[in-house]
Amino acid sequence: MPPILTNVAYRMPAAEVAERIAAQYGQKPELIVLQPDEWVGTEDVQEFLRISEEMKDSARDARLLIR
Amino acid sequence: MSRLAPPTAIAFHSVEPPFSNFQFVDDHFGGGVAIRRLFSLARAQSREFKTLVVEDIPAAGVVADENAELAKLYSDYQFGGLKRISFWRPKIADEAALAAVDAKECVGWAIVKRDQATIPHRPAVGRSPDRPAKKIDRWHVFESVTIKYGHHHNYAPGAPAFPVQIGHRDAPLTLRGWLFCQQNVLNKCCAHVAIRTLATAFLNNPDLPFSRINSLIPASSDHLPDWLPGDGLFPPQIEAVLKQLSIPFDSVYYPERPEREDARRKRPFQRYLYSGVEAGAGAMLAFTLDGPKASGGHIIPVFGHTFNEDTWAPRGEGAYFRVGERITYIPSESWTSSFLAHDDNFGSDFCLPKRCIKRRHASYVVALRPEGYAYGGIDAEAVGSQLFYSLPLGLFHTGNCWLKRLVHFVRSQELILRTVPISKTDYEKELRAMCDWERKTEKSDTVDTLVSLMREKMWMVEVSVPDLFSTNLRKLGELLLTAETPLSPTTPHQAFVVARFPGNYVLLTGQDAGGQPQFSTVPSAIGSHTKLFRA
Repeated sequence: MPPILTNVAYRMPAAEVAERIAAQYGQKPELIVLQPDEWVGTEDVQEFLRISEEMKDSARDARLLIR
Repeated sequence: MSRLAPPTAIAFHSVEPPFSNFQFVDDHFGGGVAIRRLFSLARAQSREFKTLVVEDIPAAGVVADENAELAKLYSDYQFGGLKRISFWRPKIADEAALAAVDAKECVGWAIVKRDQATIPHRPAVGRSPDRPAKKIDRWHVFESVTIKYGHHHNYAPGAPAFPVQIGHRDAPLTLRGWLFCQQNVLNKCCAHVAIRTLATAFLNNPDLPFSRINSLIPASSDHLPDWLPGDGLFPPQIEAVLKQLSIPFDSVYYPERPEREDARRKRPFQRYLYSGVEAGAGAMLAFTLDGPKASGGHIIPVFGHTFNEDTWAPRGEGAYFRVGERITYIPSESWTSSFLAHDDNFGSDFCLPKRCIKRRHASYVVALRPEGYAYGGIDAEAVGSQLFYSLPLGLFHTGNCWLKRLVHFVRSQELILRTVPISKTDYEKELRAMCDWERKTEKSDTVDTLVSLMREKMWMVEVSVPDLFSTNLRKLGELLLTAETPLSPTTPHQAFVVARFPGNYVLLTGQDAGGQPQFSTVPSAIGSHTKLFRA
């Protein structure tokens, strides 16, 4: 799984948000690292999104006269 | 605007027996089917429907604009009249009584227009057959709004509010509903009116003229010579109009080819209709019909659905949606029996059973997305499903019994997912108002902190489990994805914002040295199930 950094571009980094919320409960955030083989159905989702992309153009040559 | 114009004449009709809707429509409007449907809806909406108000009104605004367009298209065009009709619960005998009645007593209104023109003879050219001249003289529903049928199963989010002047009341009254329009075969076909139904809501512009739609239609080499707007549109032309109106959408064209059967099966049209409706933006469905006279297709706008909490279908039919070999779930659409739609051939506000149109007849589907949403709810749900099935919820050390139940349904791949658009403001409100079954609410400072992660436009994938979802309309959590940028097909999880489960939030806090995404779980005061989001 490629790097995911989107959250750090937000107003408050996600790591800081996690620290603050955990502190509100007197705890520490619990870390989870998902290894590539722990992601369920990565290829399924990629294929699903590929078909979505393909469908975007499916009406380009549509010759059904709608009336 | 004709809708807001004071009348030049007004008449009040008691519709109590022996008044006949059929006779009235036959006598005044040539028996138009879609017009008669309005009268039937008024009776069906309110058994107390007692008064029909019929006004003569001038052509102004979008109606005058249409008349000008028709005069350009047809040399003999004649504007035959314009009536505003409205349906009221109480007895109203005169303008004084009308002025005093509560606006909430109005159950619907319509502007009904008569057009007279001759569609010219178009001789055979090449593959085009000879098309004889045709004289048109008919009333049609230029536009109408009927209040939503009161059945608690019916759900039609996103309905806009339309102001309308009736008589000389002090101010226009406002009715909320999805605008119905009917084609006249002259300057507009079913595609024009379907676009107008959805575009008026999307653009919040009740006065979108048909001439504007026509001005956005690109020429098509597939059209027969001497094409007129009433002859029909092709799907690329419909899409060109939507794009030029800056309306985002997802669409699928299902041509009658064996190699596309896979698309029909994997991307059923019902999923798109449901997605557009749940987004509050609506959808369109084009279909073909069997029969010797059937040719071309017909398109209708879809703007609502039923939610049948006691339906057997999700369990009995095993209504699983397969993202692929390793991910299946039960989409919330499984509890929909019918879509709510207009069909300008027959009238407004019908229930369309979702299996009534066979897969082979569904030709083309368009699901609108909310403004600024870079991808659709169907894709968001697929990405969300992977996260729900991948996050190791069983390892969260909370001892929460609802989390354990959720883990059970994750393992059996029986999660129920529902995807809706939500703004930063609405999610904040949702979190602050959220109350679990033990009446626990979220800490205010936790909400304050979480808000900094929110984006303005997000997809919220709600997660629930059988019975809890359908019978109680409750959920065990949700996952938010930013919708402001397109999903990357290879790294869709970059859209992840936050997920909430019983007793926990999950945040994407970075990556490890190997580049693997690193999540963190933190506590939540919400420990059990909560209400589904209702826009």
